Amino acid sequence: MKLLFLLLPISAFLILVSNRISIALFYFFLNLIITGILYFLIKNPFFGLLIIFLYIGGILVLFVFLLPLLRIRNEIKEKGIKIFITFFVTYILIFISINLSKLFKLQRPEEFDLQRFSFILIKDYLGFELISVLLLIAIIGAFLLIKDEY
Amino acid sequence: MNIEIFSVLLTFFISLLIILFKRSFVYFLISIEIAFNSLLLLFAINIGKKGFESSIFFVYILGIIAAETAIGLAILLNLVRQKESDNYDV
Repeated sequence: MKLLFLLLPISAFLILVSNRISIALFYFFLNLIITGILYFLIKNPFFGLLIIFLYIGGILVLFVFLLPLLRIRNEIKEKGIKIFITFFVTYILIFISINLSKLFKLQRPEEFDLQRFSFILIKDYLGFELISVLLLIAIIGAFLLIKDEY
Repeated sequence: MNIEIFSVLLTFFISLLIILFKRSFVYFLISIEIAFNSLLLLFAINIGKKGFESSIFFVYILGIIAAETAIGLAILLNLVRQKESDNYDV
């Protein structure tokens, strides 16, 4: 499991050094798959499924369908000095992350109870209603942003 | 050192680096997703024994991420149509 956790920053770093958007999207897909598996491993399968359905089924597919429509040209290859700076800053960030992670003590969650969570989501905190209103506002906003073109 | 917290924090920092070094709006959206994702994972592994009810915020934040992506892709569509590039510095 710890090895899988280490794959998360590696896949994010691969996005950072990739020059083509299609390859970056593939690494993004890997990152999401790893995250989904990690949720299963920390005994939280509901959140894992939510991540896989929402991110890979929704957001990533939206990216993949939209990008060919836009006909974005590939980025020009980065110069050597920029790649050097990227590695150097990442090295500093690793140092900062190691020191920060020493400060926190992990509080492991209890085992996930889906029935209890469903009651919290529907009865106690009006989760679905709030999210549906938020998504409706987002849909109207997105429509208004692209409306003039059609 | 805790490997879980270390890798999640490093992922978050690298996503900030992507915003810093890449000029493409698509990379910008991807990095926001990764940042949200890593912080959600940190939240889920660090929620504690008594904090089960706070996992409702996980679902709220997922809703915010989905809404943000819809708006972001609409902005990207507008950007490409107006400037014929996904570079937001052009």
